[in-house]
Amino acid sequence: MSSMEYLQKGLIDGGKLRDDLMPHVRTLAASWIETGVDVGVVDILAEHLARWAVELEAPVGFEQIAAGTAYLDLAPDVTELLREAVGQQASATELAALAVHLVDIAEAMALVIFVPELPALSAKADRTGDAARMVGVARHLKG
Amino acid sequence: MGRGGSGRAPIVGGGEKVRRRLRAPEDPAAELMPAAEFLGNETDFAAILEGFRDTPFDPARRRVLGRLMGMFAMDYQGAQPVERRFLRRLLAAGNPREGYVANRGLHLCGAPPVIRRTLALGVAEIRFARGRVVGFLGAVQARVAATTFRLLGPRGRELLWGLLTLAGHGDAGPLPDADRVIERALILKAVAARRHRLGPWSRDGETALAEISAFAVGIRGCTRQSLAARTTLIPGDPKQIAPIIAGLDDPAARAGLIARGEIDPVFAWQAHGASGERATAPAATAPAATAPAATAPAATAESQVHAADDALPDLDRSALVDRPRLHWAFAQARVRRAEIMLPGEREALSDFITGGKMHDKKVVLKDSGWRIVKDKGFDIAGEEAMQGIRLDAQGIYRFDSARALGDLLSRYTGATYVRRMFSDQITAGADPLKQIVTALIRGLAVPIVVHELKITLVKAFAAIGWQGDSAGAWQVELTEPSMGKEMHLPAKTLLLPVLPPDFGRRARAEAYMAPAALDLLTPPFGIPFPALGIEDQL
Repeated sequence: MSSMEYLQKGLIDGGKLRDDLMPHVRTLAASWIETGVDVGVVDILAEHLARWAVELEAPVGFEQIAAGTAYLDLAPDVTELLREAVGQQASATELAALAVHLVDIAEAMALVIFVPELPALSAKADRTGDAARMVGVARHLKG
Repeated sequence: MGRGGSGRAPIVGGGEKVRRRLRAPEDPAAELMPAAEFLGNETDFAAILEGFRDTPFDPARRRVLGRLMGMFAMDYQGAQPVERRFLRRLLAAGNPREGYVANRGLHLCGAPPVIRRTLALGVAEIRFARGRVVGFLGAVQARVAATTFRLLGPRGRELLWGLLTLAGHGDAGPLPDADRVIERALILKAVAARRHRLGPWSRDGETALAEISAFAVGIRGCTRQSLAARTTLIPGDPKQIAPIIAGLDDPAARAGLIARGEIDPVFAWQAHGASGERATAPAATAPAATAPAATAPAATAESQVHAADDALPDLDRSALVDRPRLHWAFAQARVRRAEIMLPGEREALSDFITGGKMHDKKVVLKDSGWRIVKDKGFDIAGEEAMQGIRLDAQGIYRFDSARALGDLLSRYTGATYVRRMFSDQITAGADPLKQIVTALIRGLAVPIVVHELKITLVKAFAAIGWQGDSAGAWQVELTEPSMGKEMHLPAKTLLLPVLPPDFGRRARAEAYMAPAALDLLTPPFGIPFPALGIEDQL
């Protein structure tokens, strides 16, 4: 899958996450929303991998991760990302980097999902005479 | 000379060292944490800080801790007795720092006081006396639990409130050896672990609620030791190691199971009870506590006070509590296009709850959308709540939209929000652009509302990036998430009376959601990863 080619270079560069990941994060976020990936599942998957990285003493392979996260019923796109990012095996640091990367993707997805709702979220009726008559004192006085 | 916790000029002058005794009355909290030194009436902060120089608690080196210390002082001095008792319990626990961080985050989220105190104590209390210092849940988990609880539907909230009320109770009332605060914290942790299954269009939300319910009943009345050992897979108690961990040779798979157990106490509880026997005897039948008799009356008095402090008030059943969940449902329906409901149906429903005018055609769409909410949705809202929300939007408008946005976004962004009008900020002499760029520098996106004057159309953008060294040269990167459109423009453009045409016809930036970071520890999930340069900042 071409959108995941960037993972071939790994997620870590110079002891921290690569600087050039954000464009990929946004592309993936848009693509995953399009294919119906649940942002809530991405979030909890990231938490599981982050905590897994804390406990991990030996490298972990993709099959083990897939088995350990099977309860989340991951979408094929997400499984594909895990496969590409883990490769043969991942160390604790690489797994942590993957978790942080998923956090970034979940954040980008959440912005796409929830920010467009902001106008409705902060909407209220115009204070027209009509609206005023429907509520409060005006309605009471009107009987 | 370093800089102090306030981030302002050097706190300690170069003059003679001053040593002063705390003039405040003796307080147990003062012995437990350096932050408590601020509790008294000492106004000479420089003198206080001098006592911490070159210690691990030197605020000049640890800015976040320094800020927390100041916050603690303000919290404590301005608190009611119940809150002071809680803060002392927090400091007396084994993990007070993370507990206090959780308390601050929950404050910012606006969690109800009892829930906030319960969760903060769940973070501060440690599971095991030896080994790794871990609370019953983490600070970030506590925050997620609070927001997940608030975003539940009416049925879920009622169910959970009932479970929380019954925590620590047997058939005949409260059980003396039960720990209802920890029970409640664990129930809320189980809710947080199911956040992805409790959404408005969830297909297995009912199963998730049933699992929480069974867990709450299962742990009800258990001793604290039993709760500590059997709601985690971390092998802290050698006598109570879960069979699935004990019999596993593969270290990577073992780590994965422990990680899952750290997220979900229900999973850990079930893993311990694989043999099918009850995990522990109810506290009422457990051996009596072995505390010396001389201390028993004092302990009883204290526990009675704590029991009164922990009593749950009535559940908030206001219609407005359901509004964020409705918007959650609409937001998900929007991105899934016609899969859930038609855009017209969603817009009609949205117009209805926001107090818009409803002509006949729109009423038909609203009714058909409402049928979908009732038939396909999972515990979204009741019809009365819809009417109540509409009346609020048409009248007094008590709904807090910024808090609702925080509830929806904070689990992903680690931020909560305050709504600020550009014009108000400028009138008050504040600099909204500086606030926006400061938030972006901290890695927090800033949602912005733009208003098209002529046709009263409102659009939402998000500032997600910035460039430039000085205020005059700041460039911001904006995205319009619904359209997938991105643009770069000078920050000061946002203050123009009429924005460029990309924003719409005769549009102006009306308001922005100023974010406050909730994760005072380290993102993500409060877990530091030093190998990636993600350090504990405290």
